[in-house]
Amino acid sequence: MSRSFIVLFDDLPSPYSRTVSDCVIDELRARGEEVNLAEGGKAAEAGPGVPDGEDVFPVVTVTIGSRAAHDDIGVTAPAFVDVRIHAGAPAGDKPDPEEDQMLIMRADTEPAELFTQRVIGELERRGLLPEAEIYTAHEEEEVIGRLQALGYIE
Amino acid sequence: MSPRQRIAIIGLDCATPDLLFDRLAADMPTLTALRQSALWGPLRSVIPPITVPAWSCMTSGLTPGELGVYGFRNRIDRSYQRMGLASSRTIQVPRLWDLVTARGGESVVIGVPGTYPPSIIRGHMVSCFMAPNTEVGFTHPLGLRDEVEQVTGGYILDVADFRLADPNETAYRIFEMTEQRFRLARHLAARTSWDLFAFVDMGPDRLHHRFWRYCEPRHPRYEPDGQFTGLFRAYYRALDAHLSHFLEVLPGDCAILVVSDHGAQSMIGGFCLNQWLIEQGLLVLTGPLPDQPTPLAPDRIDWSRTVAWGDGGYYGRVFLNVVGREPAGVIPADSYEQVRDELADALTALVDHEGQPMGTRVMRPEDIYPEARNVPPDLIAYFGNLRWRSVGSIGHPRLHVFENDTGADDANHAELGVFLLAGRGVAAERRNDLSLYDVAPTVQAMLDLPVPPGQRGRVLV
Repeated sequence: MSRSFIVLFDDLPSPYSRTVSDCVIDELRARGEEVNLAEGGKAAEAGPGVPDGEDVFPVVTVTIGSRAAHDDIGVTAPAFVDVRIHAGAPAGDKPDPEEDQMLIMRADTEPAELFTQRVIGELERRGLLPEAEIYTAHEEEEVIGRLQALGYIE
Repeated sequence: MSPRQRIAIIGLDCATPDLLFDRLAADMPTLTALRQSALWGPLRSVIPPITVPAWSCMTSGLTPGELGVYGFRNRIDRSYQRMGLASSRTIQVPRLWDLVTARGGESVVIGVPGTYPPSIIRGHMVSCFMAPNTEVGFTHPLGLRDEVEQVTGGYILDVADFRLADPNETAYRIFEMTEQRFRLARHLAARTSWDLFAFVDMGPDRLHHRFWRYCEPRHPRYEPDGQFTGLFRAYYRALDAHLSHFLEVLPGDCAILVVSDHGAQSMIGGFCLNQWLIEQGLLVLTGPLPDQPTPLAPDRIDWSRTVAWGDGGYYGRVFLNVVGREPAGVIPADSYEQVRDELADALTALVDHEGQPMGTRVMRPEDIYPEARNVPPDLIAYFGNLRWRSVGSIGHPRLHVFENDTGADDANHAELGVFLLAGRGVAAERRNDLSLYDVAPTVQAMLDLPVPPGQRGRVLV
């Protein structure tokens, strides 16, 4: 099922969280996913492709925020970025920290590209994003041919 | 990661203790000198001793069964058709560079088999020869690709046209690839910051498979006066010089580990596993046996009358066609063990082309792995203890063949590779009980990394 993604900036985005957002958006679009952008928690205003009021719909909201502290989830690092992945609920609903459907990851000093990969990996793990193909058909043939020539496989 | 201990792992795929520690020791003064202050010895590989999964076992400390990787290509499910290439994503457990990343350290990883597509780590990764070409994203970060291309003048993923090219050309390409790997390693070791440096050169493996008959007097087709008789000495002298130059750029506090994933031995020939199963009445074709070597495609098999089939490669994988497990299974579940035992006995009793016992070893996954994930073979067979490769194709004039339809192959893998560890706090000692599974726990201890669950190896320092 094709999904629409909303990448949402929450609170006051820092340069770091902007970088993470850009990386996430680039990766999703590179995989052919539709991405809408929003700021300030207004997922319902995110633009075309966002159904409104349906019980279950193919919208995944990736909320990227940067905070000085986040006591409500027990993280008190001096600075970090959190990412919330919110799927299958009406647009505009505020993610509930108590629910399992939300993910919060610390960034601290983690390289943005690495952090992005963890976001993408989590989307894949939850089945919200298909795993990227490793090889095209032609590339796979190329590698199999090489392995056959080397004697590893027949 | 403080106080800072660093380690550089120099992987030499297929390097053998016989060559490195004995016959060519005088031609490798750097390695031989390093041995004086090192813990070293032969290293027992995994079952099977194949590049994939062996390097991933070494860097995770887990068995092929726990990784669910039994070779380069594995059954994806219990259907008869679906096979998948093992990739970095198949490895679902942390490897050393993942632990370093989690700890906040940095790694440089170059050419370690099982790293395509490259993982996102702290540091730099150039993935292995499983990358289809250098146009794809084979590095992390992606931008590293340009640097790699610039430093190497065009990165060589592997020796092109390995068996089909003129042997002089192949030899040249092997030397060139090794020189290039070390050049890149030297460059990144000097330019970047790292705690773990791990690179693997496939050159020794390619050399052994293509030219083993020129270095091994016990090889059935040994050529003592052949054109390539001096090739091994020249190659290992060159490799030792590359090693010497690489060591020059390492920081003084750096531990050094030279290691291989398996060894090499003479390959006598190939044993036609599926053709033998056909002769035993255990594998039934939908049509006549072809009159020339032909790959055994699933649609050639009458699955409703087939008990077992096999896979070719450096070792044999045997699969049983079980009711309720395979789509058209014929072996009732309650007969499975009996059928498997009988087949194991028959394989163990195989004779060679001269009617002598082959010395085949047959193993059951559950006997050698604590867990067998994904789709393991029902039996693992080392024909002649790996002196014969497994031939999966059918239509051969006899069960024992000496020509490989993909070109010359002189060597098969052997279970003993090499291990040499030098560094602060490492006592100089030769040991004969080293295991590939010891590598990850030892490196973890030296870098003060956490110990993932399930590892069986020992800390050697």
